[in-house]
Amino acid sequence: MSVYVRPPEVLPGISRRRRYTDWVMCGLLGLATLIALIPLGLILYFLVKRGAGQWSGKFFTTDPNGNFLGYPGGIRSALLGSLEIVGLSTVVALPVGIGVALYLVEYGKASRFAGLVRYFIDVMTGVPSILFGLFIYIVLVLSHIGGTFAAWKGAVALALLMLPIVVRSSEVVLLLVPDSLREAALALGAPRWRVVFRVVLPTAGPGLVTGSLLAIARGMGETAPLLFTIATATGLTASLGQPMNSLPTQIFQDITSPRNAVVDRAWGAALTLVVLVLIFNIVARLAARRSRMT
Amino acid sequence: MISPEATSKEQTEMSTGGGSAEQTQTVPGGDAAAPDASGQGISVSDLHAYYGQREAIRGLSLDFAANQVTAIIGPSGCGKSTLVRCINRMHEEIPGARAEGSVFLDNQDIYADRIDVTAVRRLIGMVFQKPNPFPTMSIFDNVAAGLRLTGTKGPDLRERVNDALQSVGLWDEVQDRLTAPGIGLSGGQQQRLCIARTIAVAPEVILMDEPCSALDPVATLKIEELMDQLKERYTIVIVTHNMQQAARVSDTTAFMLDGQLVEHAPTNDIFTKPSDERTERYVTGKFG
Amino acid sequence: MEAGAATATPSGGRSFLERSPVGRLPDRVLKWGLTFLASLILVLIVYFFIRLIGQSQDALSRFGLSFVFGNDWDVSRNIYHGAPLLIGTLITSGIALLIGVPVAVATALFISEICPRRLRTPLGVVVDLLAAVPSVVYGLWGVFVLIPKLLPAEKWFASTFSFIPFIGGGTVTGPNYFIAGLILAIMILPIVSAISREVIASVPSEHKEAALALGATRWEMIRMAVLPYARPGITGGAMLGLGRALGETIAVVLVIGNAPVIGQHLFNQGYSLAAVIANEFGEAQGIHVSALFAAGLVLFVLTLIVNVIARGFVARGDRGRRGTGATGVTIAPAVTEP
Repeated sequence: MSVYVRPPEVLPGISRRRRYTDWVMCGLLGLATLIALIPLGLILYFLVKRGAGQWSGKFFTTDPNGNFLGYPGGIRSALLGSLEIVGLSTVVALPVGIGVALYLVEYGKASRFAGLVRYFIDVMTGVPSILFGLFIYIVLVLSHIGGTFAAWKGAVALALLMLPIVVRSSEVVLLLVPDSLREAALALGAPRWRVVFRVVLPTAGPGLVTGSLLAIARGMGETAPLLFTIATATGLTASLGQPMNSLPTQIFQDITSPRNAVVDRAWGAALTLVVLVLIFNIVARLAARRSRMT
Repeated sequence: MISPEATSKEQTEMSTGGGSAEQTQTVPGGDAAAPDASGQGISVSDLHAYYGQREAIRGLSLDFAANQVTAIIGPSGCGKSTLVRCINRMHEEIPGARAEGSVFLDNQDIYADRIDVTAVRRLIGMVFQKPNPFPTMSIFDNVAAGLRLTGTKGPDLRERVNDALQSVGLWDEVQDRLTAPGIGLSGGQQQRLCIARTIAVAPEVILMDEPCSALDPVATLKIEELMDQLKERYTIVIVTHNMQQAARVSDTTAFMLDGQLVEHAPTNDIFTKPSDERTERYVTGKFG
Repeated sequence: MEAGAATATPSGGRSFLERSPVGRLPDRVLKWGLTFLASLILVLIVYFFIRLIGQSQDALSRFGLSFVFGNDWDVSRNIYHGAPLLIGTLITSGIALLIGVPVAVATALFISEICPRRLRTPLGVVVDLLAAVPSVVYGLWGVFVLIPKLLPAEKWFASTFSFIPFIGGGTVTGPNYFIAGLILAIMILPIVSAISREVIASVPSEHKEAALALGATRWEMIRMAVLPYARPGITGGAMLGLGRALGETIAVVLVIGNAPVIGQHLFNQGYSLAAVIANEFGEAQGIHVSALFAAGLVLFVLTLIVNVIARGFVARGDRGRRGTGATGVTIAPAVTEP
């Protein structure tokens, strides 16, 4: 507690100008943060406002090939199509991605080859998504392998897009598995492959799941790789060898429609898509947090 | 406490060393309270410091005499670094850490409610264990860093930077490469650079937290000689785990154990005839 | 535990310490299998490049350098000089950087240095959520919310500041460069912010303490100790954001107007490399197709260069640390992939 007040010469405050600047600049930074949050708020607001009203039983159980007048149809084929296509890409991207990450961590830590691979993976993350579509178009569609447009080809394009995400997140997680664990298993006489499958992968499991969920969330939202690979199909099909619908491509199409009812459907579909993506994101984060607590 | 009348005009930094100050009416040569460039004493009173729930300093009271070198010794974890960090109110920068009690700088409690922390730190400088010149700044800019904050400019700035560099004995070594990066210097030179940076803003007190532990013996010696010169103008507090160093440089020594002060006495007495048994065991190397 | 481990034939056989060739097989399979997968990555990229060049041959040989520098993209006459595409890409990405990077860095500084500790994670999570929104949803929102709501303000701005070249003046169309740039800014915000946050967090506390001990205020400490140290890393983050903006297709094609001209004003319509592919590929024939592939090639090379430079910057920011033992910056944490 102060005994008495001394003249300012002994413990002067800093200049008012400096205090003012500090206050203003920190305030500006806070303001910028608020500004950064506004678009998210606005997007969610309008999604709910214009999209929630579209949700109904009919919305999810009819296909978007309704009549010219009246109800234009729901999003059933788009939703199911998305789930199928992304499901297939996951089946492709996860093993390959985790496999590459395993290579980088278990076998290639210091080699130049591994460094090169890592570099190329980084390059892949920067490739615009539409180029993946173009690539698959050239390699699979133009060459007429198994017909022209097909759902599985779109799935491959998505898998290419998801691959670097899976590799990078898996690599981080696998690196976190302590070497002491590996050494303990090896010292017990276990061969390398057993160490990988019985020790490393299970330990890294939750983290791998998190990374995969995030990659899936990303894949669900992509439109461009699907544009020239799955073709536009509004009817419901289950066959992956045929053109198929998907949520993002359906929304993309609907946006440019002159019919208000179709645009409304786009809002409902967009809300559905965002909810799906958010669910994956939230589950991924919860899984990450849970694994960190063990 | 800064009185309301005083804040009605622009509050500005004032150097107590008789150097220039911007935008004030200070008469060069000093102001009323600090007639010349000499340091003020520090008086710690019933200090308690916490890291979260853990109490690291438990009711410590200690006086640091003006213009003297006081060494703080004690085993690892006794709270010596925490203590000095409480003196310039850096302790509270650690998340979850807080301090209670009083620390008087010339009868002003720096823990009083309306005290401006940044002002305290300008008056109580700190030199850290690991030399930490700003990596992106030149030698000149490093020393000038604190001065620029208070608006010192131009020839005035240059003069004070040169003074500081001369005071630490670096001037001869760096005068022709002031624009070279600060981190290009050797460890000992970097630490002297940091000391120059600290004294450039003309503090009252200089706190040194194990300043030589990262340096070689030659550099250490230079800094110890420097301390002897600096004490004429500043009050110096040095934390050290090296008892020989404490014996060499300090006028008085304080021995801490478990967050409390055990004994504080003239250095000679502490090392030759300590009054507390624990001090005696520590300085004779029986523990620590 | 091992297959075939205990064969101990006394004369000339394997000792029980050796593993049989069969026992070693799974290990070999695993190793070469994984190596194969890894090399697949290299092969894929190279193969992609080669095929893309192959498909672009026709257009590139027909139009040569004017494909990139000529200003005449005309589908009806089958002339494909792509300057409007390139310029449009650069303009919208430039706007995205101008608006997005300062806000992102400010957000990163606020979250890392200023806001109360318990708010840090939640705020970071919310900012990162912007990256989870699919680009088609950005496009939808852009077309039906952003464009109509900003139109009056844009008109006022264009007429009030018509004396400034490019930024002012001209007829204001709904879809235009500005809207595209604005949406791109929002889209790159999470990645630039996340990288900046990591870089700022990696500033060694000793420098921040040095500044504080000199009596610096919070903002002064940021200016003295944090920003100079973090600059290379933040620049790298900004360039990664640029790479993202260059390649964004869906949101842009919906709000840029798809006019194959070089818009003379900020609020005019334009085109971009990615948008032209999305817009015209479906119905393209003949040399048009090749031209679109060529546009993809230009886009690929452009984003490649930007990304390589960006990673150089982020790495340089990492090397600038002096053995403080921190783990360094992982570029684009998995949460906010572009």
